[in-house]
Parts: sequence; structure tokens; C-alpha cells
Amino acid sequence: MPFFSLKTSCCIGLEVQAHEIRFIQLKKLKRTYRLEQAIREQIPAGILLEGKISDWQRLSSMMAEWVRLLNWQGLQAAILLPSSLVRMQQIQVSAALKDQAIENEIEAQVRRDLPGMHEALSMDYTVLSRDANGADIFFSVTRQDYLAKYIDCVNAAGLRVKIADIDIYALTRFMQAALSLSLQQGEIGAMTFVTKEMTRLIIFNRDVIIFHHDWNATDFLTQWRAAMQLAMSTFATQVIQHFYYYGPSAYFDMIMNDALMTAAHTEHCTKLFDFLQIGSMVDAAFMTENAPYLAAVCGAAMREVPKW
Amino acid sequence: MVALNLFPWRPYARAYERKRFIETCAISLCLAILLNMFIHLFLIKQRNEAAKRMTHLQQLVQAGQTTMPPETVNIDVTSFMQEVHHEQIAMQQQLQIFSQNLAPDLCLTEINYLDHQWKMTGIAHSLVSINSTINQWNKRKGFSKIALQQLQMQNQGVLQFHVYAQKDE
Repeated sequence: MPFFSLKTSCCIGLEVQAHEIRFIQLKKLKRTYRLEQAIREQIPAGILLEGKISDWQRLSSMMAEWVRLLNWQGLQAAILLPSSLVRMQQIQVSAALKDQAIENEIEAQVRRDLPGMHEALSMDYTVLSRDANGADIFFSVTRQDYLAKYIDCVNAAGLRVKIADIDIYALTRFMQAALSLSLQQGEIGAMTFVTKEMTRLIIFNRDVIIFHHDWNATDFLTQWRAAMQLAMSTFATQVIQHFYYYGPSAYFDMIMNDALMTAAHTEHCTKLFDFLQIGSMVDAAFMTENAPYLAAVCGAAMREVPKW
Repeated sequence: MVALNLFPWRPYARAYERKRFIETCAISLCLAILLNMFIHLFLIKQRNEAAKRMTHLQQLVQAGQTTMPPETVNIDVTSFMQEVHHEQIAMQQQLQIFSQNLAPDLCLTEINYLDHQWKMTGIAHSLVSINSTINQWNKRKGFSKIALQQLQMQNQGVLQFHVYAQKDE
């Protein structure tokens, strides 16, 4: 990497989920992003097994075809991991612990919680707060073997993986940008995101996601109520102040009339990609139809590309 | 919202920081060397110019020495020597004046000349002889003032005197 780089940063978001592969190419501009490419393609049967990638070779060949076609060789990529494959938790450790000691502490915590887990782990953490009493650490871990195969697969296709993000965080990041929302310290926000196949409830504060639940799009209101009751029983002391929704208007009306909806501020998002500049290569009709499926992967591509 | 990255980025970030540090050090070193070199070249240029100026000045001095007319120096020396000669002649004339007009019983024992002034010491048998001699000297040209400064009686009636004479400017 050159010492002084004037190149505009460009990042490819990549998600392999629900029998399809999704690509987003974003170019970071001064104040916003430009959507250069958006792709959603079905994955042939046999590559995914029970929601996990099983045939890495075929997937890599498939990706390589797209990389070659769109001339993406060597571009930096952010891959998305499903939240079901990642464990996220908040713990408190001694404030004096250094990086390696914190990682050891996290690993010990995971091994304690999951006694049967003997595989090597990949992890990342962030220090939420630190004072004399200790440091609040939020961490995420996943199986190293699966992640390494995933990274190798994408790298073999011609991209350079630099970020491995989590789908719910990427989706929340995207929605925050789309709605220009930012929570204050102590505020709680909830987001319901509905597609034809799946509904997702995410409850978050300024720093982290404190609850999330996914379910298939059947009997929407009953499932939503069950998820909200579960969330409220888990975080009984915390009140949701902001509620954001994306999906059919009929479901939004149902939620608004429900007794569980107590948020003071509600917002129904109808246009997801309006905050971005849309490049000439992107078809507007395609984006209208596929926007909810590309939101999370776009959130991954919005990550700041590291200099290393 | 936190930005977690499960990609093992920390070793890469550390390596990048290390590389960045080395690059920064290398660039700083190169800049320092370049700066040093520029200063060195500048000083060498200054020194060469000074040497050139020095050579030029030396050439000018040499040229001046060779082209300077020797008569100029000779003229000064000659005039100086002439002045000395004239002075010597004047002194001889004045000494002749002193020696030719002495009373018969008067003798000069010491004559000093400094800053156009004569101081003479002598002995005589009588005050009349001293007075007569001074009067004779006063009659001759060449002195603006002649005066008896001191008179002292010696053994056997001999008078010792000191005379002061101011030469004409």
C-alpha cells in the first residue's frame, strides 16, 4: 500500500444466505456513497447445506465468474456472517487487562458457556467503557474453521477480504444511515424488518444490539408479539423509545394498534436506497424489487475500509 | 454502533503500523539526508565563491603592486629625505650661530634640541659675557625667542647658565 493514497475507497459487500449470493459495490464519496453494482443470484443446489456453505470450491468458482465479469480483481471485500453462526456477548473484565489477556478471558468465557465447544475460535471485541472498577467488553466469536474457509473462498475468487461483519449489525448500520437515526446514551430502539421470506426484530441501544429474533413470514402479528414479549421479559427494565419499521404497510398498521407498541417515536421506512447515489450501472427497477434483500450486504459494504 | 470485525485483523493492523512507522522513519531520514546534502552543497558553493573572490582580490592586489608607479614611493622618500636634509642644514646653521658668537670667556658645555627648542648649558667668568652672547644670538635671524633660564655661581667665581632658545616656525 502506498504511503499516501489518493484513491477513492471502494468496497464490495458479499453475503451468502438463503440459497443466494448477494454483491454490492459501493464507492465512498465525500459525504455519501455511490452504489456501483448490485447483484443477487441464486446459488445452485448443493453449495449450501442447512444454511451453511458446504461446497467451497463451487462457490468460489461462481464468485470468480462475477469478479472476472465485473473486473473486481483485488478489490477489498466485506463478507457477512449470519448471526446464527456468531455468538455475541457483553462481559466485564479487569480494566488492567491487555489485548491478549482480554482474548484469553473471552475464550474462557465461551468455553465455560459452551462446554462442548473445542474448536478454534475467531473473535473480535470492543471496549464499551472502562473505569477503575473494570472494562465493559462486547465480543463476538465464531468458528475459526468456517470463517477461514469462507475468507479463503472469497480470496480465491479474486477479492481481498478485510472485514467479516455480522448480518444484523450490517442491517442496523444500513437502516441507521437510511433513516439518519442515531440514539443517545441510554436510549433503546427497536427495528422490525419484513421481507417476503423472513421477519427480523432487532432491539439495540447506542452501542450494541441487545436482542434479535428472526422468524418466517407467517402469522406476522402473533410472531411479532411473541418476539416482543420475549425481548421485554429479557430486558424488563429497559423501555423502547424509538421504533423503526420496514415492510408492508398493513403489518405496520397492525403493530401501531397493538398494545405492546409503546415507543414514543415511530417511523415507517419505505425507501431504503434513497440516501445513496445510484450509479449508472444499477437498474432502478431491480433495486426497487430487491432492496430489502440487499440492505444488509450494503451495510457491510458501508464499513470503513481499513488501511492495512 | 460498534463495528466488530471477525476477520483476524489485529496482526495485520500491527504489521501495517510497524510498516508505517518504518516508512515514516525512512522518509524522515531521507529528508534529513537531503536537507543535509543541500546545506552541504550550499556551503560548498559559498566557499567556492568566497575562494573565487579571494583569488580575484589577490590578483587585483598583485596587479596593483605591479602597475603602481615606483616614482610615487620614491617621490615621497625623496621629499622626506630632502626635508631631513634641510633640517640638518638648518641645525648646522644654528649651531654655527651659537658657536660663532660666543664671548671669549664663555664656554657651552651641553646643547640639546627637541621640538624646535634649543637648551644650552654653559659656563662663563662674568654675567657680562653671558649677556653679550645672548644679545649676539638675538641679533641673528632664526630664533623667535632666546632667554636666560637659570644662573648659578660655581666654584672660583665661575657662573653656570642655562639658556632657552625657540626656533622660528
